[in-house]
Amino acid sequence: MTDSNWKRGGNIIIALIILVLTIPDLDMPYTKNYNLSFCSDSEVIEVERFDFFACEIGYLEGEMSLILQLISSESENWGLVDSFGDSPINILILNQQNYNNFYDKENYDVSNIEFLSLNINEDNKDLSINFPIIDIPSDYYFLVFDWEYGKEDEADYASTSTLDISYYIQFRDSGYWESRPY
Amino acid sequence: MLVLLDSANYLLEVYFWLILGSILLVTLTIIFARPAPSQLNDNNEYDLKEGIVTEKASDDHHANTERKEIDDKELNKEEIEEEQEVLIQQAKKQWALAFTIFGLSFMTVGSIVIYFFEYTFTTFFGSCMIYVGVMSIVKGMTLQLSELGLVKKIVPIGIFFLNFGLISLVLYLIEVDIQPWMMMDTGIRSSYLFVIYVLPYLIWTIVPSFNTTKEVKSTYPWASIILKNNLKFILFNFIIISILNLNLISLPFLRQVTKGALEFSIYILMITVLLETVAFIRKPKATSNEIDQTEDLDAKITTDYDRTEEGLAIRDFYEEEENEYFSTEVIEQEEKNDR
Repeated sequence: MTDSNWKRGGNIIIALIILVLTIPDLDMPYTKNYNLSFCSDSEVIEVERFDFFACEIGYLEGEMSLILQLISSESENWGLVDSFGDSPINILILNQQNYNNFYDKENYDVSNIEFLSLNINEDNKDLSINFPIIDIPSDYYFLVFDWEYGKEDEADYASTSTLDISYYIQFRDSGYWESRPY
Repeated sequence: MLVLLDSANYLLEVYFWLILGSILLVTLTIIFARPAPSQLNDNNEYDLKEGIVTEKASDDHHANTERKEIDDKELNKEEIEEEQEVLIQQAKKQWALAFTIFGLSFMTVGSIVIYFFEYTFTTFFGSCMIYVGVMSIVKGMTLQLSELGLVKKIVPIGIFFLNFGLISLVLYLIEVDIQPWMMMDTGIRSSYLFVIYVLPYLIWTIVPSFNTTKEVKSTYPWASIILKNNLKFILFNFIIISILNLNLISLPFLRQVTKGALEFSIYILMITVLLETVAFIRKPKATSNEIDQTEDLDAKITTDYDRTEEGLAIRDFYEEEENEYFSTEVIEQEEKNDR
């Protein structure tokens, strides 16, 4: 085998390794946020208990309006909430530092207190959240659906289950909806 | 039009495309302003000295005369090379000066426009002028840098960050609200990637760089070249994201662009690795043999040339017998004496 063949073969192997490592949602301790894809406006996701789903929002700053809706395909009466029982799903919008802390199962914070009300639990059954004006510090943000990530040891019985969630999210600058009323 | 102007969002989109348009305009101006490649090549012929050679009886031995002629030729060659280098250095200085004056003028006018006028368009116009001015000055500076491997590798990285900083400044000055990547459509995403990654590369490659070393045309298949460059691009973005993940420095806009570029390059990687694998499986021997043969041929030509330049006495002296080794030179000497 000649040198040029070795080089070409080596490039192909490196490329294949990169492709494997960047498969979305690959559960590896070292991939962290490298293999996350960007969020879509609306998407159906699968969340596993004691795990989380995350996608990248991107760069946010200033006064923005936020619309977040969860859509349950199973029931029109938001049966989704009841199915969580004592284990609610936390919907988090985290900046990069807090996302890394969350990923490493360390203490994390939220950039805006309003983000805390995004959680789905028994007390908050309205799954359509609309913030006309929310002040967001300039940073890079991630959308996270956390279903007791890292709490497997604390649970009485560690039985995993999965749940399909369909969500719709929109970020716009606060004057956007007035200028584009459609 | 008035309706468009009333809507800030539409206006911002118009600005964005105006930025692209104006920068491309400047780029095209530079392309057409630079001298044609044929004129650049003519520099080699400017200082070829002409004269009349007259025959003259030699006082010395024939061998000494020949040696003298060889020495003279070598000296002439060196002189021509030195003169060429001097010419290149002069041209470099002239271009560096031109770039600096051009850049400073643009920066000054741009600053004046921003300072005296408060319209959004004038701010945008002035910002673009400052952008072009700074890039021009840096281009002039790089013309004076050496062509060492390390400098060659560092300069593009420096240019990337400079371009990124300037684009961020322009966007800040014209008060463009940067949307999150997830909200952008494909066209806007492509525009951002073009402005951040492709534009500085284009500006740098179209203006003259006066490289004395000739670039050897690669004999690798094009799929292999694209794959290799794509891997470099991925590595570059991966390193930036890794550095930003350390949270030592907060550059969310850079994080957004590099992540977008990384995602885009992964899609390209899927295609290129497929093409390269097919090319590798289909014609691995022929292609690689061609490459190796070319490399061997180049090496052989260089070695033979060097050996001829150095003279026979240096070549393989220890490997052969002295009489046999110098036999060719003795025969040649005798033939010349007979004449």
